[in-house]
Amino acid sequence: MNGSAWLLYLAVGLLTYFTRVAMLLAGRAANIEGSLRTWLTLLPLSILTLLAVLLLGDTMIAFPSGIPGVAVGLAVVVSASRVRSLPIVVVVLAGIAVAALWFR
Amino acid sequence: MPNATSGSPRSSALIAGVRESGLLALGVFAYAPAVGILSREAGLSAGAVVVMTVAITSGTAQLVALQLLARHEPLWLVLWLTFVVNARHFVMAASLRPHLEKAGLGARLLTGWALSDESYALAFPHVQRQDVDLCGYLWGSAGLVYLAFYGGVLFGWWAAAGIPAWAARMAGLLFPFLLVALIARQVGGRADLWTVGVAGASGAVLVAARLGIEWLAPAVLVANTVATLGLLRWEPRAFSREEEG
Repeated sequence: MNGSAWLLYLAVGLLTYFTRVAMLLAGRAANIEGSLRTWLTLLPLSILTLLAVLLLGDTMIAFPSGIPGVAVGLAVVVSASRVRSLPIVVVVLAGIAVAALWFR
Repeated sequence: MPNATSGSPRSSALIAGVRESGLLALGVFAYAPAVGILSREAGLSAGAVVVMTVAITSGTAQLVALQLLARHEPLWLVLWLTFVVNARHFVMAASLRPHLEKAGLGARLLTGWALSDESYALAFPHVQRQDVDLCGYLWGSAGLVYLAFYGGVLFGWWAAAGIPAWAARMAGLLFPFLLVALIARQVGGRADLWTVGVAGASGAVLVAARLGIEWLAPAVLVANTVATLGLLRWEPRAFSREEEG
């Protein structure tokens, strides 16, 4: 395993850990609605990225594998945390996954 | 706390987390080989698989990263898409944040490590009942779940050549179904039921696509849309669950 691979795994690992711990370290002002706004900001960028990936060629990568995980993860949140707008996010993500398969 | 008998609240919660995550760990061990198999196909050595799995400890993120790496996609794309699929953690952590007011910095850092979809789903009913030390419970649950995940990934890498391709694909699809099964017991209303249905349908679409049943994808999309519009039209309060309680 070369050095760049080590760095890449470390970078992905740190990124993953950051998403897990950031809101736990945030101050009292942090709340789930604010976090939801982050999600909604990411969605358009995610769609644009998906389109870019689609244009690169084979689409059966990344999002078809990742989106169900994200959608189900959000379903966990919806089920447990009683936030009213998250179901809309879930259906958008599911729609993206289905669209990726449709255009495949 | 369920069946807490002795010791500090945190250690009792840790034991409860381990105990209640046993069946979940079995499920995790069932789908984790998909990551190992994909790692083998991507040409990763055993050492590289260990480093990657321990550093990331996220099946979804690893599946995404491995597929992109196998395609020699640029680094920015790998990092960006990994970030996107992990961003759900922001919401999960935010929902736990009010319950960690008394936790110290070290406890929060360790709880961040323990924040997985599976352990979160198990822990949240306890959070709502406030009958358990959240940090201890998550540490215990995630400790066992992650051990099962690491073992499953390594097993998948080791046995990759002997596992049929269809079985490997089905193992990868176990993840959504496992979580759907986990949250099914928490379903408490139409919005919950609908959300679980959408998530389950997404998994079904993937299965159908893998099996070559392409027509099911647009059918499910139409069904989801109709169900959503119908629910919003005739049950506009279904998504306003903050007002239900």
